[in-house]
Amino acid sequence: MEDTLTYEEIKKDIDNLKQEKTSQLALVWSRFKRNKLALIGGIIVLIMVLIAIFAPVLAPHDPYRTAPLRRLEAPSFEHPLGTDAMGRDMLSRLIYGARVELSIGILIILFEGTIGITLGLLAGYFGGWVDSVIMRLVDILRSFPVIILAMAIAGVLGQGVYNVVIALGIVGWTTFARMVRSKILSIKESDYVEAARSIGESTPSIIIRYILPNAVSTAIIMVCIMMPTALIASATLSFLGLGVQPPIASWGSIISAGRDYLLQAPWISTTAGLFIMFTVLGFNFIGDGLRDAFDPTADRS
Amino acid sequence: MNSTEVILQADKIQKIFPSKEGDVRAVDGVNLDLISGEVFGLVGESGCGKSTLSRLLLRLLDSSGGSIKFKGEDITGFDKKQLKMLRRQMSLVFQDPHTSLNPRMTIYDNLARPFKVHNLAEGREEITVEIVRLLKSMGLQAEHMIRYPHELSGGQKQRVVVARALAVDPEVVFLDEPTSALDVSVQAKILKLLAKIKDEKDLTYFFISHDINLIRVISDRIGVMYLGRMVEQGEVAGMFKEPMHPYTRGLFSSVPEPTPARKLDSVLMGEVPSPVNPPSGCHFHPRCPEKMAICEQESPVFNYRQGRKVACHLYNLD
Repeated sequence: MEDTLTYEEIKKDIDNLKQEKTSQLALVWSRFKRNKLALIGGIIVLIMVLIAIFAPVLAPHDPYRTAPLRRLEAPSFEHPLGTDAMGRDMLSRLIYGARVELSIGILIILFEGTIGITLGLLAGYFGGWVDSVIMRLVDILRSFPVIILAMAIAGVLGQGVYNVVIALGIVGWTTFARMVRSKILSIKESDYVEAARSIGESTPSIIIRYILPNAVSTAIIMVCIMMPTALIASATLSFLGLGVQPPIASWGSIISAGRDYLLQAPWISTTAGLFIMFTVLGFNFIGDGLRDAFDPTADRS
Repeated sequence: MNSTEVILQADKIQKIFPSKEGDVRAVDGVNLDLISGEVFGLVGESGCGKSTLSRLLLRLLDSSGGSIKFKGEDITGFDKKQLKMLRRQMSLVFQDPHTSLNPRMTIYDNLARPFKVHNLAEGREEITVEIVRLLKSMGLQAEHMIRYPHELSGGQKQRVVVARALAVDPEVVFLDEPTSALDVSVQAKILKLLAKIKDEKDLTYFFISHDINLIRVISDRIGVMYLGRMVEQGEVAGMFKEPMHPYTRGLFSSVPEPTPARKLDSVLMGEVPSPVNPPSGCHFHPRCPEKMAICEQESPVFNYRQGRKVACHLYNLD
């Protein structure tokens, strides 16, 4: 027998081993790093976030100062991305637009994520009528085209940033709820949850120690995958005039303002469009990269 | 082991799952005595209710009818607290080691849970020593503690699963096809390990398998299930020498043998019928080569016939 084994001896061995061992997070990061696209996505998003944070420092001009005599100027040394119809510096407006766009995106994700994850958890874990009620509500909301429904809600609530967040959140939580629910269902049926019951674990312990930790990766991936949808949807609402109101600059409203001058001053709409495109691309790359990094054996379909 | 103390007893136990097409009688009135210290092998085709029966006996599933006695005490009405105590006396080893450990916990945490849940060891120190002792007795090393399940091989994981089942120091261990997901070379090692532990700890095994040869080697007694019912039960030597129920005969003769001179006349024909709408009378009659008129009308009682428990009209009750 190994009765001679003392805790100190074991501890020393284990401590030595731990030095060499990488944590699970480090493992996810090392897999993420190896994925070139994910890394590019990360860099794009990081740049956008830095731009948003340091907008006042980075912007060469005041984004709101109009200069009627210098309207629709082509890119020059003074205005690297030209000026808009009111003579405002486009680069500065786009830099400030990053702030507005990203914070709206984050607010939408927080709003729909909180509702969606909570309801998805309840539906998945408790099943029965709780599940039926929540999932029928999801079915009803999803039977409308997303943007039409969001427009209707935003129309009722009136214009404004927060109403855009609420409108898109009410529509968008359904995706979160569905994904989280199906993940919880599969975890609930898993052998390790039955094993937990077979050693006498209580229900709260099973939820906290077995179900939630295994659902966290799904939630994180969902956030990154839903972010582009939220960005595009909010830009769409701004474009349609329901969201961010002038003179505040958001990418959606800049595209909208530039559409009358597409031939004279194509840089207005195109640059804003490119900003949206790159940010969306960045989040998509991160989302895909995280999915692969969390679960390398998962089906990619 | 010459005592014949019955440690676990099931009496007409039933499990009915309601479904849209009708009730599924997964386990349909099974009687069973598990004798302390034996290896009881349970065989049957997949879907016959083997796993469900084991979950009922473990009280992981609530039965729809019948009673289960553990050491003479009826456990069917046990409350949460009593069930928690029961979890220390009976444990379960799963078929697939890749899915039966929590992937977000290290091996240490996976193995520490039974100690913590039942307060079997105090503090990190004591638990660590216990876990290392367990790991070593399973042929694993202390260093495996800090690994995550995905860093271990299938065989190593199954050793951890066995270790977790033994952590509570149980009396009965249910083994639900514990080797069918492993490579053949690993299977033999796990089986040897299981045999060794059984002798050391004086355990009772309830071994589920569809591998007839395996069951033959390891069991003291075997039970044969068909479509939710027990059809034959007895000592392993006698059963293989002279299987009585036509289904048992078919099942045993479907095992490929190195000497194919044996007759293959009783090989099973047809498919297992649906448990939603099982055949009348004896469930086996549509596939039975020795079907009689009575078989379609009356279910044969599962009891001693010519010295062995069989459910078949071919034999008269003793």
